[in-house]
Order: sequence, then C-alpha cells, then structure tokens
Amino acid sequence: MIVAGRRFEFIVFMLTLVLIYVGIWLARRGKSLNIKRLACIDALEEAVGRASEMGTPVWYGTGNAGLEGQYATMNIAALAILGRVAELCGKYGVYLQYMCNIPHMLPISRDLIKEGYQKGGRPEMFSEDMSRYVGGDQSSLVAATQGYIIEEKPSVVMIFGATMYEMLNTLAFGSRVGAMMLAGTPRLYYQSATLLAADYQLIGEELYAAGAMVSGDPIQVGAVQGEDWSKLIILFLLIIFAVAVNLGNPLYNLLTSW
Amino acid sequence: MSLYIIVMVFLIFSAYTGVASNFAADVRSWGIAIATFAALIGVINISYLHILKLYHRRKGWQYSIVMFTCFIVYFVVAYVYQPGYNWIISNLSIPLGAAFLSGFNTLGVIFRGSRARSIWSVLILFSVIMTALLSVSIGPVIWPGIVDIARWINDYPTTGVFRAVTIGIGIGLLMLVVRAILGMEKSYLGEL
Repeated sequence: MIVAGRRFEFIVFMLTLVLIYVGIWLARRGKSLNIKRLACIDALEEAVGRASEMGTPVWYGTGNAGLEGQYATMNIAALAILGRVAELCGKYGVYLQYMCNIPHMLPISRDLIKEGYQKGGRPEMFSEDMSRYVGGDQSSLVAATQGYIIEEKPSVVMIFGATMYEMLNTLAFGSRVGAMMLAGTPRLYYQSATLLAADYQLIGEELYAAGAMVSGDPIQVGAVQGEDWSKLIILFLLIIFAVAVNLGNPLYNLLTSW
Repeated sequence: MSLYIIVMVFLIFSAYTGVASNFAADVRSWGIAIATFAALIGVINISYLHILKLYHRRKGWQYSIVMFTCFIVYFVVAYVYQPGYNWIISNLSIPLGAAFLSGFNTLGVIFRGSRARSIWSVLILFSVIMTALLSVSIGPVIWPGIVDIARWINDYPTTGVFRAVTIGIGIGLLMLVVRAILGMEKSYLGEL
C-alpha cells in the first residue's frame, strides 16, 4: 500500500502526529507537564519596567514573514509573546511600537496590542499607530526599523519569530542606542546573531515553548509537549543509526529503502 | 474546514501511497490557480481601500497617490515595455536590496552589535571570524591553518547544528499541521 522506500518515513511521520495529538489531548484535560522557566520570558517584565523608568518606548518585531508555511508556527509563538508584552506595556504605561511588512500581520497585531492594553488596565493608551505596516519589502522593514531605533531611541528592542537578516540590523542598531535586547528565532542562520547580540535569547525551538508558556493555551502547551516526545524518539533513532552505520550494520539502509 | 482537511489528508495519502498521483498534481495546480485569483482579489481590495482613503481624505491619503503611481507604473511597464520593467528590477530593486544584505553590512552589524560575555559567545565569534577569513583570499595568507580550522567548523559543528535546527523546524511544522487538521488552530489563521 505504502510506496517502497517511504514506509519507515511514513511510520515516523504518523508517530510524530500521534504524539503531538496525545500531548494536546492530555493538556486539554489539565495533565500537561510543566515547561521549564525561560530566562528570556522572565525578563519581559524587567525589560518593560526599564522602559517605564526611562520613559522610552518598546520596539517589537516579528521579522520578514507572516503566517504561512514553516514560518506560521514561529510567528504564532511570536504573536503570543507580543500579546504578553502589550499587556505589560499597558500595566506600566509604556508605548509599544510594532512594525511589520506582511499585510496580514497588521490587523492581527493591532488586535493583540489593543487587547493587551485593555488587560494591562490602560486601554486609552492604545492607538492604531502602535502597529505599523512599513511596506511589503524586507529592505523597507529594515530601513523603517533602523530609522525608528535611531530617532526614538527605544530602551528595549525585542525581535521574535521567523526573522531573517533584519534581525542582524535590528540588534546592531539596538546596540548602538544602548537598548536592552531580547531576541529569538528557530531559524538556523540567525542563532549566532541572537546569541551574540541579545541580552536574553530564545534559542531554536525555545520560541515555541515560550509562545505556549505566555499564551497559557493548553493546545499550544500540549503540542510542545508532543514535540518533545517526538524529538526524544528522533534522538533515539539517530543514536541507533549512528552506532549501526559505524559498525557497518545495514539497518539504516534497510529501513530507509523499505 | 472539511474541504481543507480532505485536501490535506488526500495529498498526504497520495504522497505515501502513490495512489492518484496525477490527480494530486492537479490539486496542487488548483492551489496555484486559487492563489492567482487571491492576488486579483488583493489588487481589487487594496484599490478599493485607497480610493476610499483618497475620497475621504483620511490621514496619510498622500501615500495612496504614491501607491497608485507605483502600481500603475509597474503594471504598465511590465505589460507594455518589458525591458523597462527589467531595468527597474535590475537597477533599482535588486541593488537596493543587495545594499542592505551585503556581506559587509551583515558582518559589520554582527561585529558592531556583538557582546562576547560568555564562553559560548566567544566560541561563536571565533567561528564567525574563521569562516569570514576563509571566504576572503587574505585569510590563508595570514595563516594557512585558518583553512583547516574554518572547514572543520563548517563540516562538523555547523552541520550538526543545522540538522538539529532543521528537525526542530520540521516538527514545529507538524505541530501546526495537527492543530490545523483537527480544527484547533483558529486564533490567528482564521476559521479555515
């Protein structure tokens, strides 16, 4: 029934789907495991408090991607964090500036920021300009971000999500104005930039866990739990295959050609 | 919602079983056709929005004029005078993008913004310097050992990290697939 050469891949694929579903199912029944505290998320309140003391705005970005393909999961997590940051900004009376170059991120972010300021107790502070669409090009996002950071000198710069090279520029300009920087992306090429330039980082899939943690949504928490179980199985398979290949055992070739 | 689930499950089924693979290819083509119509709807929507903005002289109405001017120039040049369109892309759009993305800029911002506060940051900074020196001809002239060190960094630790991150992204995507197929992901992606 299954095409030859794809049977083992199919089993791993189905197993991953089942584990994620079981994680969600358990979380919806209140049986989810605890997620480890992340320093970056704990630092959100400290960062917004700093902006409040200094009387400067907080800049937030989700990078040059929207809610499509592989980037959707990353930006869903980043939007959950945006909602939390907006709530803290409402609590401490801080101006939050969000910038995007993907049209569909504009109404979503506006809703989240508005809701955040309401939750924080300062709905009157919200204005539509807090979420700004700066053009449909990555360069326009970089230019607008750099201009804002240099002109307004935010004391806190946060960039999370499916970020691309705009992350480098954002962190560099945040550094120039002495901003406290929080950043995180699962995208490979920007792990080093995050670690080098940001004060607090979310490395790799920590972003998914952070998004689930701040949203408190059992579906997201359960999915992260299922993801961790899947990674354990993949890790186990990697060790088995590495040992087998190095011992000259044909197990890997047999399973992948099955 | 049901249509979305049926199509997604059918495509996965076809990919693994080979059943109705021609029809699956047709379904993917329909997706491209639907996306084209979505682009047309986008043009209609954005024109309608900006016409209303101009008519009511809402805040920032001047930018609507810029938007229409750029849209009409691009549209006309693309369909009437193709060399002109290529000139705009080659001589304006690509150089402007490249100026932002150039290696000099990327490396410059990394060095300007980097803070080597932990052993891990120092290791990454060292890897960046080695890889950068490998990429330029002066690197091996400074010290031939740079080539071996940089290649080892690229071939082993970088490859390992690359695979780990790729696995993480892949499973992250499956998380979304499960939530979408089961109708649990309604918050930001809409009611599907």
